Amino acid sequence: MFRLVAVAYFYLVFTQACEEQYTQPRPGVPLIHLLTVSHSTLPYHARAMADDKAITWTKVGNRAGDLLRELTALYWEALETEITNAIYSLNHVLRLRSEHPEAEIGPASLGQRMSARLEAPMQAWAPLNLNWQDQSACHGAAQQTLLEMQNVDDEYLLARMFLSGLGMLDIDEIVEYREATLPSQNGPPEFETTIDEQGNASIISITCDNCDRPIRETSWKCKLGCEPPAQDSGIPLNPFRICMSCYTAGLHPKHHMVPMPHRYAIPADVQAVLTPTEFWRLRRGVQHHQDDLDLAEDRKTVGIIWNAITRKLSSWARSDKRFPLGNIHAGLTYGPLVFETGVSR
Amino acid sequence: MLRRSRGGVRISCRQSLNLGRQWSKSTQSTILAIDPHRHLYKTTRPLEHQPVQAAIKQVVGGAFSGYHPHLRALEDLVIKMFFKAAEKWREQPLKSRRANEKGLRQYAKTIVGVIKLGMDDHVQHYLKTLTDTLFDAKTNLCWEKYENNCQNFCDVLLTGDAFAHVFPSKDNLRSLRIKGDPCSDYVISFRTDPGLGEAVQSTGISIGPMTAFLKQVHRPTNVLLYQESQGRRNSPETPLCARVFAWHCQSEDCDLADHVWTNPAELVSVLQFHLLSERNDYKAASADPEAEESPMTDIEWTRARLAVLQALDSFQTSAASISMAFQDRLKSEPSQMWEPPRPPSIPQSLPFQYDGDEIHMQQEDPGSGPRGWFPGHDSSSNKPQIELPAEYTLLGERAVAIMSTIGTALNQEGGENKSNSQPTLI
Repeated sequence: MFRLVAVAYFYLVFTQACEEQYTQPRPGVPLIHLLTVSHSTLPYHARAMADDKAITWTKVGNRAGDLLRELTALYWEALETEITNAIYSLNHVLRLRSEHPEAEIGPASLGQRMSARLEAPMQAWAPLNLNWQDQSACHGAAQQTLLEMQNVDDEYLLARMFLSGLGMLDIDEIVEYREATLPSQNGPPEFETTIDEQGNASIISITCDNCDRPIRETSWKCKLGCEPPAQDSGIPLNPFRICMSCYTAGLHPKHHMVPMPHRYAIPADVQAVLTPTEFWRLRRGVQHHQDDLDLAEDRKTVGIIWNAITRKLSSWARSDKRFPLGNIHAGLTYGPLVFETGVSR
Repeated sequence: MLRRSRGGVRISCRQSLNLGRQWSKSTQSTILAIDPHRHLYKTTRPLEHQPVQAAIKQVVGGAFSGYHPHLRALEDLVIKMFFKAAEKWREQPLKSRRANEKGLRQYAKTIVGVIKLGMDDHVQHYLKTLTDTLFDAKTNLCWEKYENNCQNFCDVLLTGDAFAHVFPSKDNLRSLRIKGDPCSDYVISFRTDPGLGEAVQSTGISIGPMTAFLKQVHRPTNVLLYQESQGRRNSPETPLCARVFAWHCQSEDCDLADHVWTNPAELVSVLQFHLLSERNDYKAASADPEAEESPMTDIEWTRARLAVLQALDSFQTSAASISMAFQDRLKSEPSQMWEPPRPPSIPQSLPFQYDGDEIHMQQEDPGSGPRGWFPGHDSSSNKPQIELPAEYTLLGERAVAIMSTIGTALNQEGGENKSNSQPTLI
């Protein structure tokens, strides 16, 4: 009986740990920690109810009609706030126009507001089976309608721009950032490949000059030639190069920095001197180095067991349509309303 | 599990759009929650919005684009009322902020009242469509990480034929109805097929900023910052349209109205993202690379916002004109078949290339492939991993594709059978 309870408990905690995968990175969990009951290890629905208990909910109903009524009221209430801001914004534009007439604040000219490139989309999206003459006539009609819509005075146009910008009837999907569980999910580590005179290839990992971690995806270089802290003063060998995390943390003055795009590990000039067999061997070597580096960094951050579980789940999830956009939060907006489910953090 | 959602779905006010100025970011917000048993609850609480990484335009409804003929007179009236309100309102420095806000709100309330008169049935119809989906027994409202997460939920809400075509289906074209019943009449849909996340079938056309950002590895930035890090924005030499859309121009005489049509779904999505961004997210373009970063001046910021709004207005009126031209044609020949195409996979809908635009292919970063459970166990494929030269990819980016397909494409001599060897992008 005790064994059953123990197994059930560990299963519950383990499931909870898996569910938290996309909410927060979980450092290596020693066994003793798993035995501690805390709020965070409660089953999800219990914790959600505990959070929700702090909020006073009013039950409205349980029918579709109730929801429709509430949605309609919420829609117009939310739109009123947005139109308030829109009035304030247009008021500001009008004030700037009168105070700074030389600044030419306002819509562009009619020609710049009318696209001359409608023919291609009309052909691609044509819902009617028209011959080229009729298609051309439709294009002419579209241009004429567009001219009527755009040939209005500036004040009317400004007001319309603000109102149409609210997207009252539009549907969008909004993507919010969620922190990656593993460092390897922040992008591939960067490598550099060189060939010496004997034709031997070397693969070098590019690391941040500040924190010494592998550079992933975007990096930042000091355009003023500052030296990395570890180097002796004198002629700088390499300009200071830091990772995205150190840049965001402001560890080097931002106005010194320019972004450096991600570089291919095997540049064209190296590839040119390799045979196909050598190229593929080198490419696999780069891949193995990337894998090893990812593994080492992930294990250092979250521990061996958790790393193995998360990496397997992450890679499966990203290739599966269940998580088409990876570790993000998505919500659907209709006008000023947003519909969402899932983790909010 | 979503907080303040009773374990199910949360419906609330979206993050306020930033049209240049914001009098109030809504703090106390009404929140609706539907629990998995379809009980509806309501509360009023402060709501914090998380930073937005990207916006993906799904459906352009066409308000104030001239698309809905039965709303034209109303839209005209509202536009004039709106302008008058903006012209007349003055902030009274001797009065409290609350008192000033009262004046603004009064104007807004009047305008909303007028809009409601004409658009209420249209709005209700859309809300009813969403409500029916939420109350459908087949819709699972309980969040489950693997089977019913937030991304799946967004798909489920829009599943169905209502938005499945670039233009509405014939039954939903209000202009063809004798009776003016509400229907799902929209200007254009970029709605993806329900299999969101399925491999993007390359049609030999450029991928846009949104795909490049979203479908690659997880990034701690937003789409505009990412584009900036790739050197695509914010230099004074960059044309205005390229700066707004974070994507290169396709021709020398490009402008805001033309640029959006190079990749409509992607670039309209970028415009929507701009409206969700804060002023602090932007900095002034500077000709001097040594100069310190500085925020935009008031005039620069206002101009930037107007550029975004103008681009959006140009697109909406253009798209509305296209749809209306086809519908007018259909009215004169009612026996014609109306078959608007279905948009392909996310997040684009048939972007258009111009002469000289190379086919851009992308490849999967090998570092993100499946790994063994334990260190030392290498379960990666033995297939050769192809790395394309930098000039062959989108401005030096790492790309996303299935290797064998690209390998097949590259192994074809002289580019034969290109249509059979289109790379499949993930």
